[in-house]
Amino acid sequence: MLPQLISSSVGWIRDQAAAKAEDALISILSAGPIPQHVAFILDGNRRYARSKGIQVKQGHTDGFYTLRKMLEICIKLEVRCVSAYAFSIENFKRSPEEVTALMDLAEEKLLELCRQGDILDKYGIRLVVVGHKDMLPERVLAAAEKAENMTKDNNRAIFNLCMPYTSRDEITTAVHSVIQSRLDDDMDDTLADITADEIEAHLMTSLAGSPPLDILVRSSGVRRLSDYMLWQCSEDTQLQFTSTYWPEFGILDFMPIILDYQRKIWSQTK
Amino acid sequence: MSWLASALLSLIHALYRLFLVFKPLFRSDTEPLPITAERSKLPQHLALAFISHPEADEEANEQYILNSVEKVVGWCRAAGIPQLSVYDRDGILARSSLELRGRLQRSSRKAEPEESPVECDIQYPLTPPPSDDAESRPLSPESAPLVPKLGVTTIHLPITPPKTKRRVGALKRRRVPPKGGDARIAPLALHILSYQSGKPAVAAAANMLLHNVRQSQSNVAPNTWPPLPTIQELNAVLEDLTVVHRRLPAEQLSLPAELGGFPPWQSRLTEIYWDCYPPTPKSRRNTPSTNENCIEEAEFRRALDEFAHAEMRLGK
Repeated sequence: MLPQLISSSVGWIRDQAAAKAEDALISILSAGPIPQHVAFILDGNRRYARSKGIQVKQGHTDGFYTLRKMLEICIKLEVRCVSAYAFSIENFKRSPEEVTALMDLAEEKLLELCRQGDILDKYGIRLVVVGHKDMLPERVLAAAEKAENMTKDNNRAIFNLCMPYTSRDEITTAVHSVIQSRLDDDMDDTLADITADEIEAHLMTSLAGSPPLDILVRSSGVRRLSDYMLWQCSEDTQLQFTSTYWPEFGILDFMPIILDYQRKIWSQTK
Repeated sequence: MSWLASALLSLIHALYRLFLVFKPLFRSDTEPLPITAERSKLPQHLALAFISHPEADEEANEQYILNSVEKVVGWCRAAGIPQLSVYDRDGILARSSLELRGRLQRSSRKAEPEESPVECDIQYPLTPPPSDDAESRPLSPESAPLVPKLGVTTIHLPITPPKTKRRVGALKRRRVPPKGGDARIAPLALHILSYQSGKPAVAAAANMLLHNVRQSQSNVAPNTWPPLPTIQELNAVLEDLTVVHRRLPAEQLSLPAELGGFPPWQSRLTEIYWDCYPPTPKSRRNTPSTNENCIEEAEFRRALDEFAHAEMRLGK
């Protein structure tokens, strides 16, 4: 009984100390330039699970808690917009069991996120589900719409949850949308060409009010964009590839990323 | 307390800077495999994106880029990579395509002198660069669909000089096959890209599709929804690439990679490589030709080695 009490007390003290240290580090980093929009490719959940000898489903669950943690860190740093590549259209090629597990997780966590007092409510974050939403199962779509409706008046920050998403699909949808608006406008009988800026304005992330992308982070050591935010990150976006698996990603992995951004901004203002 | 936070941040940055300076020393300096080494996987289409230093001298920049492309073309052909795209945002390469063509022609002759022995002194005029097929227009604006301007110039290597009219009495020339079959250098398609090949090209494709939709709309009954362009139509116009990224100048402390406006559509599954460590004194001593006027061969070889180890899961 006593050893257990001591152990849990030590654990509590350690957690409190870690939380305080994290807040202190966030305060220090906030003294310099902070990116307005950071995107994450949440890669490595399955490899993390295999390395720990746990089920893949648990790996994805741990990955969700890391996403939530990083969202909180970003908000405390006053990052205005966070985007996360939660599910690719290509991921539907995975085994039906895994896809079902991921959809179950998505539904459960979407409902959890929009609970009163939870992170979106606590920090005034507007959730936007970005992607080809009609590919989602009804129940997940319903949870997504509920979360979006409950947070639509939040204005402190934007959280783009990209699922199911590919950049080519987003760009194509934007092109479709521009063309449709030109066709709908009877007065426009030619003549002004469609521009890149017009396409950009019709991207789903732009329609959600996201600022330009400053940093794209991919975990697990893979150095590819994998059809994520290709348009948004092709100019003036730092690409950061870290070898850490996503569920293990934390503030110490994020710190050098913020420092690199600050070095860039300071070098531009010299 | 903000002054304290600023002071501590400055200290953290100073320590981070020291870390970046000394980090290359702790990198295991394994020599990359030779260019022609057997690798488990080779890119079929390699791209080289030049991100210039904004304060660099323009002419020095141009020469650096041209020198580097000349080298990389040779390396790609030696490795058997059939397609190379070279990119710079400002269009230096696009404007210098004639000069580049001339250099590649001269390099090609040096590399394979036995290929075409010339027995007389007819000078072949330089062939103008192949016109971008996208510049063609149908004779009637009402007829065939428009082809979008993609802003790409393509040079096919080896560059075959044009046939000239045979002078009366001139010798008929025979092409002599090169000696030593394993010394053959592979052909290569070199694509020259600039910023115009990226987002503006997608806009051009959109304009093409809008034109096509309007054309077809005139042939369908009123109140019928126009057929919307499909994702396959955009795919048919633009292709996948692999990227090697070089940042100038090398003395700058490593910064994360940036794509500098590189065509976004093509980057979907591209393996991205950049040399985030400046060359160490040891690596310069080990490199046979330490030429500071162009990209280093070791960087190219490291990129191929990394690509060979990359695992592609394609969403699965």
